[in-house]
Amino acid sequence: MTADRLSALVVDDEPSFRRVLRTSLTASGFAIEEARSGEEAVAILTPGAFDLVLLDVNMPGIGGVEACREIRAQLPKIGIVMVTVQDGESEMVKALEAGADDYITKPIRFRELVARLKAVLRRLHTDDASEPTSLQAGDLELDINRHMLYRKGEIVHLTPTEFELLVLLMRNQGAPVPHAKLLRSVWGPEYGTELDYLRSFVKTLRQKVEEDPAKPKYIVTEPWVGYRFCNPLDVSPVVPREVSH
Amino acid sequence: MRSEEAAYRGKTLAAMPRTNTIRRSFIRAGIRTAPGCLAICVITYICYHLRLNLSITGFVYLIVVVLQSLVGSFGSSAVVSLVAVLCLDFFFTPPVFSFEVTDPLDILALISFLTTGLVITRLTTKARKANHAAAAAEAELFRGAILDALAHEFKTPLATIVTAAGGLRELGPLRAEQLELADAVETEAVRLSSLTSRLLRTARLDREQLKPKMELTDMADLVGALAEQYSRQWTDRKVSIRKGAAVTDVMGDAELLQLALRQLLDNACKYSVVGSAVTVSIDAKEDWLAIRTSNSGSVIRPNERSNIFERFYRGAEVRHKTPGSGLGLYVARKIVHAHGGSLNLDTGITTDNQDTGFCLTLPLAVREY
Repeated sequence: MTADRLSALVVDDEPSFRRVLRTSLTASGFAIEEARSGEEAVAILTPGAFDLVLLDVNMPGIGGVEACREIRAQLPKIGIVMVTVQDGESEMVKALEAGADDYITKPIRFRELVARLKAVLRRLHTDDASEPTSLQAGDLELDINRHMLYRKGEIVHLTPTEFELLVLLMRNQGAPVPHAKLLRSVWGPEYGTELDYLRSFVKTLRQKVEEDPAKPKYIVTEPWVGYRFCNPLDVSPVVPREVSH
Repeated sequence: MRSEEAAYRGKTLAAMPRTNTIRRSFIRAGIRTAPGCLAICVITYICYHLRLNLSITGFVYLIVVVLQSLVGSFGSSAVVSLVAVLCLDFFFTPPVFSFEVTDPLDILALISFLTTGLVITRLTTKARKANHAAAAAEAELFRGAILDALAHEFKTPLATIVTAAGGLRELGPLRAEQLELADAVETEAVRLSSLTSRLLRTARLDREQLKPKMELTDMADLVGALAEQYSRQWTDRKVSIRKGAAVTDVMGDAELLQLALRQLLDNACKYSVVGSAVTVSIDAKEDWLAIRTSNSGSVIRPNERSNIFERFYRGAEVRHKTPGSGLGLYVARKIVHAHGGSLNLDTGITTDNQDTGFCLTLPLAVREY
């Protein structure tokens, strides 16, 4: 890690894609190195060498998810962003469970990529053990001790479950939280697959929290993965994708 | 299927009057048997004058029957067999020139001949049909494989283009025109990428068995979001949505249902006149939810209306004007059927010269709370 530049390792088996990422990210202020495979990445990564890893999920050899697991095991403090293809498979959830901090789907909009990388770094550096007693984002303020939610200064009544759900999402502000994790944390370890249950709770929560529940700005759906709490004041544009729900 | 019976306006056009077609098919059948019967007559004449006996003539007749079955239908070949056995009886079985048969062994011979003729005919026509079906299936598989391969090949370069265009734009300073062009590259490449993904998905759904993941889905939300996307994307069409139902929950796989609806919206926008209106409406009646799309522009000819849902079918009007794989409606219907619903042309809206409408019905989810 050089003093002024953030360093990132781009891992992808597609040379032209690596080149494009290298050029764009370098001009955006990153110091970039490349690796062609998961194995090469694991070999190159030494503690302190890089701030971030951009890892493609579909690679021959050990593959992206396994590489992520190994990297996370060796380097607990590095930021890992997976590059995936959106085709309905649950690779992304596996990647998040293997220790990835975030993911981005191809075709990658460059603006979104930079925003995600910076958000991941921000979360890593402000990761302290102390649990804040109040969480804030945009119009919302969550007072954890008093179990109260304020929206534009006015009290919003939440059921205990809705409250727990919102706390979890807001605590992980900016990061994708998989369905299973939400279900397990809020409802209990026996839960994990009750997606429509979760969905109906998110729906009612959106109705209480969002300006326009049909176009949520705070609680954003991550298709096939889960939900992400976004702070609309963050300059990380959520680019509308073709898949909704 | 219950859904077929209860579907909204599910019937396609009523069958045409029967008498014309029956008469025509009789004439056609007659023409098909003529050469075979002619051959039998010629052989009868020759064999009679050469004083050949029953067995030899029988075998020669069999050659004609086999040849007939190689080119004709089972029906025409059966007729030729019958004619042959009658000639065999009349001209070559004592007493000659009469249909009477004195020797019981000769009766056996005639019956054996007829049986052999019919069995050969059956086997040959069956084998031919199987061959045709296999060739057609292979051609379809081939087509599917090509679509698949193409779509896969497109994905990676497109992803690279999108990222590069985005990077270009972010790296500034670019002049306004340069920014505009970089924007155009990114937008269109993203669009192409989505189309490719969808094509791949459709091709896969076409080949495989559908296993929809059924969850409670609010169709009003789904349709609303889609209508908005399409209205943003298709700036020269007036896309509008009308919600006529309060409860719109169904049990379904949202991704698959979206794919089916996209197909209808794609078609409605693609095959309509610039500046025209594309409307989507949602209504509920008893246990059913009906989603209707309508557009005005190119028309589906009456004789093609039952074909449009076939695999790889492309209407004559649009075949050369607008690109398409011909799989869309086929897969869309497959998806809807897997949900217990129906997808048909909306005969209430579809006219002969202007408007086309589709109606997608789904069973409403039973609310337990």
